[in-house]
Amino acid sequence: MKSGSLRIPAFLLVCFIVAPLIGLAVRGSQALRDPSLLTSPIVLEALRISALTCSSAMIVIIVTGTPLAYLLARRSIPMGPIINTIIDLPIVLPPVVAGLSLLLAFGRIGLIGRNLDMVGIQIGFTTFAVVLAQIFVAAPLYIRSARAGFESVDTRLEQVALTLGASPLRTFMRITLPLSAPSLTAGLALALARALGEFGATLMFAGNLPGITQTMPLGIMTLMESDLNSALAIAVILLAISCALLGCLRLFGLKRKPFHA
Amino acid sequence: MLNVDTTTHFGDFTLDISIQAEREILVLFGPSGAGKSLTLELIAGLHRPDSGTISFADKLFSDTEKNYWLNPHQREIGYLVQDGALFPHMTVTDNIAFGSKGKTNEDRHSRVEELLRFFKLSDICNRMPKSLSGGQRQRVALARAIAPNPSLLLLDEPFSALDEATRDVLRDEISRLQKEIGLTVLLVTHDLSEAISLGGTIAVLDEGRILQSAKHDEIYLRPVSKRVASLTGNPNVFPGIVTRETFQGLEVDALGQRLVVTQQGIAPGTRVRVCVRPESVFLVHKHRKMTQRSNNTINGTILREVARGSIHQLELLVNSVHRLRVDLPAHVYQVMDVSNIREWSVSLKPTDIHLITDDY
Repeated sequence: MKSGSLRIPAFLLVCFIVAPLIGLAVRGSQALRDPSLLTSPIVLEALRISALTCSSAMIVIIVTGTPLAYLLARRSIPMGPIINTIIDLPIVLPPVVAGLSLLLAFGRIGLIGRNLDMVGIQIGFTTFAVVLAQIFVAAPLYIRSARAGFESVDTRLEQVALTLGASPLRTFMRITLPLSAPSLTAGLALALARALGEFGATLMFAGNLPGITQTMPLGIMTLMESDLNSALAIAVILLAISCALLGCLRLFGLKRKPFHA
Repeated sequence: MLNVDTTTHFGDFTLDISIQAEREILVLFGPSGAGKSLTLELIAGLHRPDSGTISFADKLFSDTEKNYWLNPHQREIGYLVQDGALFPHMTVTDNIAFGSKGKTNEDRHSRVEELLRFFKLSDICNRMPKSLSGGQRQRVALARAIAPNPSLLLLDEPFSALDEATRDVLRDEISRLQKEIGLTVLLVTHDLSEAISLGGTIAVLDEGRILQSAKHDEIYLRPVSKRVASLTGNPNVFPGIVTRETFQGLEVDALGQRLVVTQQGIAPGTRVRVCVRPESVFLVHKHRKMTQRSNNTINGTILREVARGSIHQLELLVNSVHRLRVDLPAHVYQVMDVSNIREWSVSLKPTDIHLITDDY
C-alpha cells in the first residue's frame, strides 16, 4: 500500500481534531480583547464554584482513594477483584445515569437522602452535591492509576524497610509513596480533568444554580444563549487548564517506568 | 540464642523448621525450593507461622500458643535479601542511613561514615543504585543491613550475584564482622563449597525440613541419609546388611562382597546404607597385591570419565553391578596413566566407610 493512502485519512482526522481547537483559540482571543469579560460576576462565580468543588473533590479522592488503591494493589482486602471492577464502572457509565443514580441514593427521596432529610440534612442541589458528583465520576481514574503505581513498587523494598526498623507508616512515606509518585500525580491530573469537565451528573444531581452549583461547564451552557463572549471566556480558561494538565500527564504519566533495585 | 521451632503452610508447601544458633555463622544449605528464603522471611516477621515459637536472645518474636507476634520493624534484625533490593530513589549514603541508629544526627552521620569506610564505599557514596556494579550493590545492601546495629543478621544468598574475587572479599568481611561484633548470622546458600568455606555449622534443608544440622565435616563425611549424601555431592550410597561384629568394627555385605568397617554399635542383621565419598576411594593397579589386610579391595571397570580441572571424575562398574564414583586429583590421574588403563581395583579404607542406619 502506498503511504499516501494511509496518510490522507490520518491527516483528515488530525485536521478534524485541531480545527475546533484553533477555532476556540481564535474566537476566544478575540472575545478576550475585552478583559472585563473575565471579571463579570457570572464568570467569576462559575470559576469560584469550580475551584471550590474540584479542590474539595480532589482532597477527598486523595484521602480515601490512596488507601483504597494501596489495599487493592497489595490484595489485602476481601473481594478485591469485585471491588476493582465495580469501582471502574463510573468510567464507562453515561454521566447522566451517574447523576440519576446519585439522586436516587442521596436525593430527598433517595435511599440515604430520605434518612438524612429527616434529620434536616439535604444534599441534592447544593454545592456539596456538585462535589459528590465529581468524586463519583473522577475517583476511579485516580484509583486505577494509583493502584498501578503501587503495584509497580517491589514489595521486597517495603519488607526491607520494615526490617530496618521503619514503621509501616514511615515505610509508606519514604519508600512506597516516592516510588509511586509519578503514577499518583498522573492519576490526579486525569481525575482533575474529569472533575473540571463534569456536566451531566452535576446537572442531574445538583442542578444549575448560579453561585451554588453552577460550575464552569454549566456556566458555558447557560451563557451560550445570552452572552456568547462570556461563554468563550470560560471555555478559554478551561482550555488553558486542560493544556496544563496534559503537560502534567506527559511529564509523569506517559514515560512511567517500573522501579526495580 | 536464636531459637526457631515452627510449622507454617504456604499453599501445598509445608515448612517445618527447628533451628538453634549461638553467636556463630549458621549456614542454611539446600536446593532451590527447599524453603531457605521462607525460613529467613519467617524469622524476619514477613510471614506468620501457623504454630510454634521464634525467639532471639531474650526477645520473643512469635509464639502462636500465647498468640504473640512482634512486628518486623520491632525485631531489630539485619536482613539482606537476594539481589540486595536497594532503594532505587536514594543514594548509597541515604540507603545506608535509612535504618542507622543514633541518639543525635551527628551519631547517625558518623555511623554512616564508618560503614562507608568499612565497606570501601566512600568514593561512590553519592551514586544511585542503578549505576552500581553487582558487587557494589551487594556491599551497600550489607552495610545498610548492619547499620541499625542488629545482633542477628539474616543473609539470603549474599554472594550469588558476585564474581569469585568479590565473593571471597565479602565472605571474609562477613566472617570478620561476625567475630568482631559477636553476631549471630544465618546465611542461606545453595552452593556447597560456599557453605563449607564459611566454616561454621551447616543445616541441610530439603522440602521444608531440616535433614541434618552439624559441623561441615560431619555433614560431609557422615550424612544421616541418602538425600543428605546426594545434596553434599556424594552419589556413592549403596544398600547393605551388617553380618558380623568384630573387635575392629563391623563386617557388612554390600557392593556384592564383604566389607570391613570401623564403625561400631550396629547389631548384625541390620539393614544399612553404605556411604563412601568419591574422593576417599583409592585406585590401585589390578595386578598389584595389597600388602595391608582388610583394605576392602574391589575390582572395577571405568565406564565414564569427566575432567573437571583439578580433579577427574571416574565412574566405575564394580563387581559387575554397582556404579561407584571416584574423584581423582589431576596429577594422580596423570601419574597412574588412568587414561590408558580401563581395568582397576579400588580400595575403600575401613575408616572412610560410613554406615547410615535410620534412613528406611
